[in-house]
Amino acid sequence: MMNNLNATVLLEQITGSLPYFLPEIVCSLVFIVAIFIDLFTRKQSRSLVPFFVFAGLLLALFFTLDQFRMVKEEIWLFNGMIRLSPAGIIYKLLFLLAAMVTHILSIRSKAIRLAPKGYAEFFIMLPVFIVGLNIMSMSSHLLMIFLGMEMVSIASYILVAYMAEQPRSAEAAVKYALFGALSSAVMLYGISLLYGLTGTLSLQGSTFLANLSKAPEYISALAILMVLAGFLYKISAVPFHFYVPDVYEGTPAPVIAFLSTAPKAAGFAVLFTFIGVFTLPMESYHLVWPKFNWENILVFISICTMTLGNLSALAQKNVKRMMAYSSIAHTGFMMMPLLVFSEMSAASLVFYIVVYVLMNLAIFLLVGHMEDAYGATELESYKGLAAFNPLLSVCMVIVLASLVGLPPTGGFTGKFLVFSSVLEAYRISHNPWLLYLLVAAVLNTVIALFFYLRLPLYMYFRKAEKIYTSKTPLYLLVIMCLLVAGILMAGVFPSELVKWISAHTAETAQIRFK
Amino acid sequence: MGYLSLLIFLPLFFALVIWVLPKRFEPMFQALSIGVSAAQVIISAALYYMYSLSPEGFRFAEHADWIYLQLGTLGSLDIDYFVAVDGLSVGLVLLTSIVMFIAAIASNEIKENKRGYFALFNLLGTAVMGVFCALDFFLFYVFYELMLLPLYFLIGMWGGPNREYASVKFFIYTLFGSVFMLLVMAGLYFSVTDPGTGHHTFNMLHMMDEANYSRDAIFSIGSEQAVLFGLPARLIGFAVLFIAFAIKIPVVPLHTWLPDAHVEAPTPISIILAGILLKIGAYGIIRLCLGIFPDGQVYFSYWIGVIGMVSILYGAFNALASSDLKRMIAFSSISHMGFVVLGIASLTSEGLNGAVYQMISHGVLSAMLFFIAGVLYNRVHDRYIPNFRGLALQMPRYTTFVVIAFFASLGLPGMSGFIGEVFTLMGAFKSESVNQLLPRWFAIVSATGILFGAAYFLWTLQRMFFGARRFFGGEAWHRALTDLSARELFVLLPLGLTTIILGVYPSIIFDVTNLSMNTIADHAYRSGSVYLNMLKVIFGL
Repeated sequence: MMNNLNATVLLEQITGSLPYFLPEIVCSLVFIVAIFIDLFTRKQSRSLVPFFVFAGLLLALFFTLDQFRMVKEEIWLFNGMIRLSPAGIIYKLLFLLAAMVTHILSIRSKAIRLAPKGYAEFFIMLPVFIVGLNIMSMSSHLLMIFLGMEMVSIASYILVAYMAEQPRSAEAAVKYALFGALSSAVMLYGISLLYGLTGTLSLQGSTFLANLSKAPEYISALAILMVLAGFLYKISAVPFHFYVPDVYEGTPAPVIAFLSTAPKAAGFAVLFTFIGVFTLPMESYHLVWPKFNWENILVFISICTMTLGNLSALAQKNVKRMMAYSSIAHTGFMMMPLLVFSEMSAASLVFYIVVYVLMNLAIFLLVGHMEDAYGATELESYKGLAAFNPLLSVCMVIVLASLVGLPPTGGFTGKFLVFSSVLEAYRISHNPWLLYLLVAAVLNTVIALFFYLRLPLYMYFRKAEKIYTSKTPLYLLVIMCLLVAGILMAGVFPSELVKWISAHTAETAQIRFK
Repeated sequence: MGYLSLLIFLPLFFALVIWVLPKRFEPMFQALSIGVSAAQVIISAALYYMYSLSPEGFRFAEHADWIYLQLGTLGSLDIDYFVAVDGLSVGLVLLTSIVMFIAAIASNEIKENKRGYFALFNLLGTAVMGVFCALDFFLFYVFYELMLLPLYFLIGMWGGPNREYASVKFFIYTLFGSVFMLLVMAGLYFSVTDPGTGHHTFNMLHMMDEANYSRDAIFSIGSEQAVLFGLPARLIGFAVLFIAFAIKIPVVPLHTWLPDAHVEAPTPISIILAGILLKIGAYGIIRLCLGIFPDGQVYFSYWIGVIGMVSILYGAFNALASSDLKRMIAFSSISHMGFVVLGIASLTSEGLNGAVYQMISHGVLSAMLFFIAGVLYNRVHDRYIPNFRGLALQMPRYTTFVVIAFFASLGLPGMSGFIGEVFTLMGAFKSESVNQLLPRWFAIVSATGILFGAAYFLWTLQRMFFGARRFFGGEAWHRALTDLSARELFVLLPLGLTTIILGVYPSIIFDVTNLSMNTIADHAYRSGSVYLNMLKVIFGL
């Protein structure tokens, strides 16, 4: 009888949760159906699968947007395995945006069209990504976090590996999978330790932290560090960044446009959730938990990440490798708001991520176009581009200014918000490490200028050695202009965007103080 | 839309117009830019006149909400569009529009990619105008940084042979100063509340008022919590802002970008660099360092005086040793801006009034000097001083203006350079008896800078213009070196007249600046001493 009742409640829970899970269900169905479509229509039509997938993404987008209406405060689905919060929906929207832009960039991409192992597979992977990423951004249960991350990781390995043609990119793919598998294993071990210490895998409520506090100090710190390793790998923070430049270099630009944005954003969503557990619901909200000094460890990793990323980027001659290190450096900046668990830091993190996604999509749009049209991958091969492609070049300069963090672009506003939240944390905790972090971040901005400037330097100051004949397709220009308009709007009139973001993220941060 | 907004955004609008106009309008771009800056001259001259009728406080203010964010625990983020001018900035606004006008006329040496050039030129015009008008720190910062990108491209794309190096160096130097300023700005924001709304604010005027600082903030006045790296936070804040602006002026250890940028930049951009950009540094120190951190100014005055003195002498010695005409003028700029720094350091009414006067005078003179160098360079593509001899016989009208510009710069009484230098030196001299910030010998040693100034200007004059005609390029140069054209005369004549008028009748400027500068000097010294005493009690300095 008891069992029956439980089963009924369980079933009700599940059926009750389904309406909130529509985007993910849609994506899963699209994935399965697309495989069959590909199987049966491969000979007749190549464009059917991409078309179908895009339609599926649009449907998922519709359901995701609908969730803003349905979800006003966070709700728990599937017996507390999934937590759907307004902030999570923003992330989901971002993933879809990245996926759709990537989709459009990929349709004409030579590298993907001519991929020997098939053209449609690439598009079929996109909905899988979305499901995994969505689960990552919505989970507050270690098992679900692991599940989501693995799903994304495996999808990434497939994408990188099946695009690999030259031995070099094959090497990158193997590296990627190997490092990834290792970090997953370490993380899983950490999770099992945590489970052993606390008796629960759910991050919801105070049981987890209360039990963990009773555990021996070293073991709990070790377990946390191991789990952290998995997250740091996903956001490509030092010292888990080795694979990034190789993977970027060996993979077509549209794929990187996606891999450098969405999984990283999801990684930050997970990290934010995880760290949130350790903020004590007290008068001050900085990360105080006697057993593990989050603040100093994160500061240290953040400083190392941004400095190493920027310094390595200085030496690069390949645009993709340069952007790989740039994205590592940005990881360092994005880690800054994690140090403070406040409404402001939650909002500034999401704001920075939104702008980062726009910037990276724009950069890889250009890189992809250059690769396709001229086979250009080196900085040298961008010489004198501006004279032939004025609009694209101007857009590029704005994007680069935003990556450096110059006003009036979104990158500047993001940096300003991030710095402000750290400064605010310093005012409360007076931890000198936070000051070192700020100084390091500021110095890094100057270093970053060096290598970001090299792109406009080649595009504008050097004379072209060849004639750039191929016309930029109109749809690329339109997307580029939209992305740049978004970046500029986020810089000149950020009020609405920040208001919207903080309205959705406020609760995520607040919930811990109640 | 008020006058100031019109002044600021007119060039931006035309920058966009130029950017979208079809290619066949290219010959009109320069005329359009000249028209824009001419309109700016008229507007700002009218503003200057209106201000001079009752020269007190901030006027022509425009206030609008720009960015408003509600950020939970942090309270709200209030950023306003707030522009106004006082006696300090109204003169610089007029100077800016005049220099932009001159630069626009001098731009006909630009032959390729006119669209890009004039779009960036006008974008730069918006940025510099905005810097002088903004009274909201955030807005100021946005305009301040907005200058960098256009200048980078203007130097890097239309500059001389070594332009890549020069433009990157310029960019890195300036950004290095200003990113730290960003941190100070954020710190100030959290320390100051608007008495009207109770929100934190970026309003500079609120930042200058002790009453608006909260007790436990980073830059609180007289609070032992205001510590950064174990040092008083307010002194660090001052130092950071000062270094950011000192790079712009530039003062001696931080000056190395300037000769490179000047030598490589095309003539009109050199004119803007020397005429306006250097003034932004000095303006920032007077407005922000003195206004917001007067305690830092009082504390560091001695060393700032030393920096000013060293800049004067070092600039002069380098100018003496330069054999490139443009390089010589660039170093003379460093020397002349040293007087501005010295005047500021004295914190006396004479010193500050003299500093503003010197800024305006140097703005006009350096525009003239760089234009003069450009005249020569455009004809024979050479500026090497030993390559010319006896130019007075070859180009008599040109030589007349060179003589005017050189003599005005070296401080001949009756011309504008003289007044600025004398007043700043007077301020420095007086400081020992008024506020004991600078010892007398600073003034005395700095005065020798005038002597060296005379030396390099006169020596250059003698080497290049007097004696028998002998040119490095031989017969080709004889033919190329024609006397001033009507266009060049049109530029040089009003500039030459201005420096004489300013020299003979300096009250045109002093009447406008006097009240504002007295207030600033008074505030800086009086509240600065009070705050500094608090700091001394707390930190035992």
